[in-house]
Amino acid sequence: MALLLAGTLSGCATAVPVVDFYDVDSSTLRRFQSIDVLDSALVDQKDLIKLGEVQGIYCKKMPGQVHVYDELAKAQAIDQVKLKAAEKGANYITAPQCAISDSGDFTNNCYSTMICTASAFKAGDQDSSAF
Amino acid sequence: MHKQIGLGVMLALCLATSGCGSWFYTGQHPSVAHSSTLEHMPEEIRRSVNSVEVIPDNTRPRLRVGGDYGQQLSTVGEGVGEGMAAGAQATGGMLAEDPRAIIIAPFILPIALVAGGIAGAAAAKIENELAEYRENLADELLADGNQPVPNDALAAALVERLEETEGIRSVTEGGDATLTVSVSSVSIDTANEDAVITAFATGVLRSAIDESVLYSKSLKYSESDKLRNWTANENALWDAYVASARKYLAAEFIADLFEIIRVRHVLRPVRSETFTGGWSGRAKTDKPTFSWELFLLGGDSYHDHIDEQDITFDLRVFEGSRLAYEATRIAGDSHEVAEPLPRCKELRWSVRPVYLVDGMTRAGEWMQYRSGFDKFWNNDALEANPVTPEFWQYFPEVSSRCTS
Repeated sequence: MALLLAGTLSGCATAVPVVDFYDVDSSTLRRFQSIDVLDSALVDQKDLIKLGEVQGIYCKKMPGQVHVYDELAKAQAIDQVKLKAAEKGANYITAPQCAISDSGDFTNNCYSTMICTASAFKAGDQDSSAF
Repeated sequence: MHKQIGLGVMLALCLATSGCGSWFYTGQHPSVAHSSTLEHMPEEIRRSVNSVEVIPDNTRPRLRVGGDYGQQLSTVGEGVGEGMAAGAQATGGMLAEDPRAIIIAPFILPIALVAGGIAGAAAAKIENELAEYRENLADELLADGNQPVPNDALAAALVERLEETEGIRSVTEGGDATLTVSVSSVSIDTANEDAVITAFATGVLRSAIDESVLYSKSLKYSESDKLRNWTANENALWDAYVASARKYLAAEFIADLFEIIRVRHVLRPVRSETFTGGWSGRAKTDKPTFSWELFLLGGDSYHDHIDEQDITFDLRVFEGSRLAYEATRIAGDSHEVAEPLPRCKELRWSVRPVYLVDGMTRAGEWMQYRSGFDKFWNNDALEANPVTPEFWQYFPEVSSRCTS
């Protein structure tokens, strides 16, 4: 525990679990396919139930840093966000906010990471329609 | 236990440094080098080429020897190449331009090892096997030289594969483009008693109008086995390797050039009443119904150009490297095998989606064991573990029924 704490303080990033597409069930994949990204302005106007924050990671396992303009890295991190939202039963997420970290991730064996965060929602009883 | 130790070491390193990232790299074997498997020939070039003349290059493959025997091999490897050339002269040119320039490589290797001065028990062990190797080598050298040269054989396999491909014709002259192919080199990498044999091939597509290079691709085909197994059963393994290498490389070239598109998807086996599903499934009848599920994930350039209603599937079942069953353009996500499968065998099976993209037929990748997709759509994972669209060894397994 002391080592873990010291490791965190010295710069090791908090690990974000990676969900493998091949590990999730069919219904989650179907929900993943249909998840919409919400305009944040609409969140308060609709009948939604917030399911919490979800994080997705792109993990660079080869030497070098993730580039801020690496669209594929961003797409993968957002996929992870959507997949985790789908696992929670979400229909919607807010626009993911992404940040790059070069401090490594020893749980996922990453040199560098892009981590995206969004809020996950499901439609309330009164509003199950798409925006 | 190992994992715990590894974590402890990593934490210690983390404490000693400002970041952890650079300590986690586990490098690939230095001889492994792939072009990005996400690439294929661009659609605009595909649209401009309707007929192709396949031309074998006139170069000979080079031999590379590497592995854990250290520096001896780096010099011995060169000697092997020279020895092959000398052998060609000594046998009246039989080896010159002969595929056995490749075929004999595994037989030369042990000789080269001894010649390279391997000492102690290793040398004694190899020397004990040497007589057998020499005998096999002699057999190979004395065999008639009817087999075509490697580049000719690869070109022939390409033509055969091209003729099965929709929307493109193979011609002997006057095509839109020429495709020059060559087996550029063969490498033998040893580790303990294992040997990995790898054939590298290159294809260059040129415009027939001005000979400008439209596209080029380098591919490889590897198999690994015990060194002694390469010569067992009258070189059966080696013969099978050569045949598989040609077939695989030809299929890969044509798929990459004219056929394949890489659509983000999940494709996996699903159980049916007569098939248990999974990556290692079991058939409950002689004619099982294979079932699968495909999810397009979006986020790629094809997303808006594919109507899921138009997707069909090709299915193949392999017994070893032999195609045991095939069905094409299956509508829906299951197929009952029309002919009984070979009994009591460990088979491989797969499906690939066939898409209509803006009216043109394009193939997706064959469903493969998920190790090829480790952390799906991860560039790094693909670099380390490239997708091999027609490499049956990564297809899902299915045990066929033993009793009636």
